[in-house]
Amino acid sequence: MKKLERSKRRQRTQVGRTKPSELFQLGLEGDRWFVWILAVLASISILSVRYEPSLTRAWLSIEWLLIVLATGTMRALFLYGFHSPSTQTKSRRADRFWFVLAVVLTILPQVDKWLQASLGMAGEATELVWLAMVQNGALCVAARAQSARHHWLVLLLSTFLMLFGLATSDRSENVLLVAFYGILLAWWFMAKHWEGLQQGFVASETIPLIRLRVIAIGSVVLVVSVLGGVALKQKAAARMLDGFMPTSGGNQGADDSARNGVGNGEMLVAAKDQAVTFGPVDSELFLESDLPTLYDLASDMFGEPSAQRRKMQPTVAINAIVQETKENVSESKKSSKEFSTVRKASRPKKEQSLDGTKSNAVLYVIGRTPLHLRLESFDHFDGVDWTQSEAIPFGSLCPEPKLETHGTKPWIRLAEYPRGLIHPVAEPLALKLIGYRSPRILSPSLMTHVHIDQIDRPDFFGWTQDGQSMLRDRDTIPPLTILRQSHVIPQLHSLRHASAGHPLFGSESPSLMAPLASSYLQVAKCEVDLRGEAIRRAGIAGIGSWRTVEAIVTSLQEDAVFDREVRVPENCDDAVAFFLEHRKGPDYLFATTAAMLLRSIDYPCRLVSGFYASPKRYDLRSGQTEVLREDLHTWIEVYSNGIWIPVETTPTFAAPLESRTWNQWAVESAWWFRDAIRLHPWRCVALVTAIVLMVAQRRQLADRLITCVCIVAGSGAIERRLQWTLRLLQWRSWLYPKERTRMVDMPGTTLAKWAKHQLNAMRTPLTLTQIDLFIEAIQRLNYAPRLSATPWLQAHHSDLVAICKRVFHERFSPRVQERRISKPL
Amino acid sequence: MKNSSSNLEVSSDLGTMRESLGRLTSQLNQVLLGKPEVVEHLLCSILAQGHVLFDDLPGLGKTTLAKALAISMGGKFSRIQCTPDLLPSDITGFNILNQKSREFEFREGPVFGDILLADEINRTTPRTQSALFEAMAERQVTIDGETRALSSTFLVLATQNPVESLGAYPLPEAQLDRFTMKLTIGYPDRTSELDLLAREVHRIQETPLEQILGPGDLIRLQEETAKVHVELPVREYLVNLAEATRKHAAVSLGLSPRGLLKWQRASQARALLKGRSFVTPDDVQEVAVPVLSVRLSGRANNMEPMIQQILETTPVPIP
Repeated sequence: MKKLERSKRRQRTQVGRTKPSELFQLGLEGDRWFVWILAVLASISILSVRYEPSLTRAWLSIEWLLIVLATGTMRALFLYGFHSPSTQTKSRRADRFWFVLAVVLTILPQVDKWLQASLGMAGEATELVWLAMVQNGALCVAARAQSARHHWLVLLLSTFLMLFGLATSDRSENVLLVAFYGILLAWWFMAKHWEGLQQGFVASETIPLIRLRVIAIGSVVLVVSVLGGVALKQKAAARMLDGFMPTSGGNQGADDSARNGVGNGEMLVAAKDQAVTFGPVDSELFLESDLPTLYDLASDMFGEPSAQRRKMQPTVAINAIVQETKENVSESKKSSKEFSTVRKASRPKKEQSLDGTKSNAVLYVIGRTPLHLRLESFDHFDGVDWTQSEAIPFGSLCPEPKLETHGTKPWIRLAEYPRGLIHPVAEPLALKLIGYRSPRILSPSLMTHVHIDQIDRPDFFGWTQDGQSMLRDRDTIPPLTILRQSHVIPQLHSLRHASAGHPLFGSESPSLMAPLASSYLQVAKCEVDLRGEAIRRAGIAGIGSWRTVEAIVTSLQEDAVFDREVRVPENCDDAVAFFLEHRKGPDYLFATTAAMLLRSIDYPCRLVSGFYASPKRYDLRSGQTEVLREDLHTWIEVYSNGIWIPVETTPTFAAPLESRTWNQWAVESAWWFRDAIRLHPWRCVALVTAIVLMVAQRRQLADRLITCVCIVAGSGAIERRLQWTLRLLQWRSWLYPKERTRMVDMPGTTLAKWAKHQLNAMRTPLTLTQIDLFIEAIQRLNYAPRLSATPWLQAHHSDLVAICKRVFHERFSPRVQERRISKPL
Repeated sequence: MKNSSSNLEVSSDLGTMRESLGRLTSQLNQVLLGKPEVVEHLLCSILAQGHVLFDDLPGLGKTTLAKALAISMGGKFSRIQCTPDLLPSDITGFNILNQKSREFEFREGPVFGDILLADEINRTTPRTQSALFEAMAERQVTIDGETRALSSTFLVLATQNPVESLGAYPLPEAQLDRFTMKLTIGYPDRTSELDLLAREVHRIQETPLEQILGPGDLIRLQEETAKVHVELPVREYLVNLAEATRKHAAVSLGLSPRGLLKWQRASQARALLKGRSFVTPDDVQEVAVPVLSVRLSGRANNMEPMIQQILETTPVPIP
């Protein structure tokens, strides 16, 4: 009985193969395509989830389309190509091909994410990548599904994906998609049930009740439609009332931007959280508030500067431009001209936020991250404090802002940088200021243009003394202002490959920037021999190129540990020596030490403080990066050829962006090749010659390689040797398709005929006896019973080995072969 | 005529039988000049216990070949010249009243031989053809309610003229399926014809045909044929080819399972003729045309190009 039940169950599991046409009489051709269609529907659901937050929507769509096409083609080949007229051997090959394709497609999303990450793009969230992998896996299984187990697996995965898509997406189309999916699924279940009945106790003459199925499905669809219609109608009514009626918190909608609580309407949230929303919002946010200044933020982060030190250090007057523009600047704001490296232990951070919002963000960034947003810079260091030197009006050297119109928008050109050290393609950037209180315009080091909606007057913009752009005549940039900027990225490769003694660095650099040299090359007194330390850390990079900068910074990052809580003692008057001795500290100590070391070997540089937009804070859904108060950061800028190049000095922080887009890659590659040719001409010639020779002799090289593989793999038993000899002949026919006929080109050719042709085409042909012997051997090997083949093969072992050796050691020459080949098969 | 059957009975091992097969082949090749492939196919059909239909013009050596085969195999040879007035009893035999004993005696017809040459089989009526086909399929005849078994090595070599269609009764497909192969001898090549003429002019004494096989040997060879190994890829290849015939657009009637079995047996016979104990795809291809051309029907009269196309497009199993 058990056997009978088991055989019945086995019969039921062989659904796809046994009774494909009896399942669906209403147009669907059995369940041959059914599970694949369900998997495609599920993938559409997941696509809708992935599509919205994706930054590369076109690529995502193309990728999805290609995967669906690939699995569909695989399904078609399986159903109509591989399976029906197949041999067992071909089926095995198809299985292998499917397996490889399935593995590739399944890991494709992860590879895609990895590639995007390597190109500096954010890529998809990890959970979406995993979902995509599950989706591809389901499609691949559906492409090859033949048994009930496969079908159930696909259905399980597809249903999971479909429900996940429904739960996470707020698109109304998804509801329709799920409804359609549900109908198909119900149909399939009924068919399965019906089939079970047919195979079970119901006689085969029972008529399938298709009408009953249609009625059942139709009833469900009708009920769902009515209920759905009622629900949508109520929702529409609720939306109409929204705005007229006070609510007790939120709108209960599915909008992710919705917030609960009175006073957090969509309008406010939209303006605050999404930098794409333009323009100031008419609200109380424009009023003056008691938000902390940036100086307060630094104090929050690192603690107050030591009182003693503050007393000892004379307060320098605020820079001229700010004085001119605003007379009643509060005292707290004046402190930004000074940055002390000696601070008290930090106090607990205050949770400051805009009124009526939960956001603690200082600003939001739309653009590539990591991003270093410069706020202010310091040039003079006395061993403890960084200050802005009054003597050098760097701002006055900056060009006057000019108005330009791009499209219909007014853009203010603030700077122009010499070509050669920057990439010509500008990077777009948008900042939305939330908790930011300063007239200074936060920007990357190499900003070129800025745009604020409705502002088309260049005289609104000016420069601070340290060369930072700012808004004139204003205390602060209003909160919720959108700053659209355009900046360029330095091309460091040319600096890296500059030879020692390059005019941009070394002893000649002060002459290039004569008025500024005294300040930006100033080195504070230090117990440590800074120049010796710098030369030691530069190591083999030497002095005179950008590699020196990188070597010193890397050395510092590797030697010291980033610790935000470490403080320089109040009685210490040499912060650099303290840091070099203890080898740990916050970011400003890293930056200070790096700056002093670089200055000691005549690299002009300065300390910069600002905000670090971390890729870790990137929000996939909004496409924005949140910048919080704790992202206040300090790094240095190195002067070279008229531009300040940002350099990250602290470990755990990512270096500023270099060229990463495709065209930037192309330009950089061209630069690299140019440098390589210039620096190593003979090596390049040798390399190119080797490549040309390899390309010209590619077949011979491949032949040698394959032959080696076959010799190694074919060592041992005579059976294995014969098989690998046969494989070698096959591969050679692929390598030399003109000279030797490939098996795939003549599918009706038998192994004996093909092998005879291959052996006759050898440069030194075998004798007829040897050819007949080899053919007899491979025929016995492949078509005779093993028990009878082995003794025969052993009896002719020595002759066969000799033939195999002749084939292995054949040196193929296409020209010779062309003459020899006379007759086709 | 030498009688060598006793030698074969003594040395009945496979090697000796294969040697005998080689001698048989060369003897028949001496009779039918320049047509070794026809001889090979004929022997394949015999080893596969199959009947052969010669579809060819008169005067090409069909009868000569059949007679030589009968002599070589040591069996009883009989011949029927099929005409429209030929009755079934003329083939199967009939009961006749013995005036002396006042009892009916059975007079055996030509089917009670080992090799029957049915000349111009399409000239006789379907009724008579049916009587012959029962004997071919069942190897027995039923006369007046009494079933009589035929020789275990009973073999029919039928001929038909493809040119003359007037007064002919074409064989239906169901009956053609009884034959294992349809062979076309065709005109001999120039060398063979010169050789033929030289024999006639110089009156060269032909070497007398000798009996090479006895009935027992043939049975053993047929049993050996059935034992020839057919590896799975080759079986799959046969099935693929059969499916290809059924799916081909130019074929209205594809290969039947019975035809597939006969094709496999013919391939086994070809392997045995070549001295092998296993079938290769070459064997399958070699016997494909004679086996398929008797079974397949389509728009074209000559099915050989279509068969060749199927063979060329159906992939051969390559391990």
